[in-house]
Amino acid sequence: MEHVLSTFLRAVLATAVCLGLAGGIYYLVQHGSQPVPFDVFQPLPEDLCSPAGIVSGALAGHASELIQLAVLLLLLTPPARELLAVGLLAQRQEWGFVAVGLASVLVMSYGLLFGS
Amino acid sequence: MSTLTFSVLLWLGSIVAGLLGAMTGLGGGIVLIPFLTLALGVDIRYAIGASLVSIIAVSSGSTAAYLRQGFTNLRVGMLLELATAVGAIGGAYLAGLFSPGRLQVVFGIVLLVTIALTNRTRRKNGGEPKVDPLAQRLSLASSYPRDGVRVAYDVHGVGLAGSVMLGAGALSGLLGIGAGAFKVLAMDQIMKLPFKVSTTTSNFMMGVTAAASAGVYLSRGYIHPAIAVPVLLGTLPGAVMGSAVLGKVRTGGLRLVFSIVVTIMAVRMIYQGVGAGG
Repeated sequence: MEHVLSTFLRAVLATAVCLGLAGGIYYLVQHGSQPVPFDVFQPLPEDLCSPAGIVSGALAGHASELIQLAVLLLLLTPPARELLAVGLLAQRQEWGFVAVGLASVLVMSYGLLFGS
Repeated sequence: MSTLTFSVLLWLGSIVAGLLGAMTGLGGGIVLIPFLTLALGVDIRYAIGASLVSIIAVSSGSTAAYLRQGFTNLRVGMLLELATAVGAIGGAYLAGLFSPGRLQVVFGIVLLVTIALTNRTRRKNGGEPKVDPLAQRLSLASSYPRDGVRVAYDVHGVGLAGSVMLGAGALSGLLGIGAGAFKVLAMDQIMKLPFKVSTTTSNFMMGVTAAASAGVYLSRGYIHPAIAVPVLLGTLPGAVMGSAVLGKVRTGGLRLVFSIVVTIMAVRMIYQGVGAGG
């Protein structure tokens, strides 16, 4: 079980890093010379905050959304890892920990779906 | 400052944060957030969002390694991370109620407590503690590798450790740190786990804790792509390098210097936060 989880984590992490690198380079090509506005906080537009907006923007080739897609993939790694662990524990019929794992996934999903 | 210059500086600073975090066991957020706010002038809310992204990345990467080595107690980790995740959601919502100045003050205080906890004397082996019936019912006892053999250990104080994890999760969600010092404290002092099991299991939980609150931060627009990507691409290789050299260098002197530097940063954060009306 540990081996399966470990391999999964590495694969997803590598994908997120590659996506982030591609998006980052593309972003710098487009915005590299612009001054940074990070001393004053301004919430990002909806397209960069919701999973639906991020995915559609990334598919359209927008640099910021590509980066946010890498971030989203990273954010989904722990719940995905948890679901994988739940599946493996269900095979062993360890229903108590299956319930605990599913509860953790629900809590993690809550923030992403209802955080705003 | 241009975006390119900012990105390069942030990337280099993130490498150092990841390196120091891995070598001292204090985590990247402790260095990263003060670097972003004090050195680069970034609003603390952006800094916290970026720090959570790096925590998930570093936690996932190191968990992959520790799982293979057989130190992590999966059952204990899965049980306690539910408590930290709930706490983290609460902390993330609380962050929306705090002014940036107040967040900086709280961050500085927590930084000082973290340094104190990390430099405390580790638990000495005392008498055999009472068996925890909850730990027995959940089959939390396990074993870990030591000198080529697997050594068995029991688990204690599950209920109390769970309560501490709620608080650790809240700190993580509020401030964008891993709160590893608090988690290791609970597992080492309350649950009486072997220290290496405590640290690796804490690392295992950190990704879940950070993901719970990071979802809130992403939904509210606190995670800026131009900050997140240099942080992600810097802390990850920095942490890998730090883990690689950890066994080869003496870290006692480094930890002392690091503790002093972080203490100074904590005082500056408090001072700046108070000045900003926190």
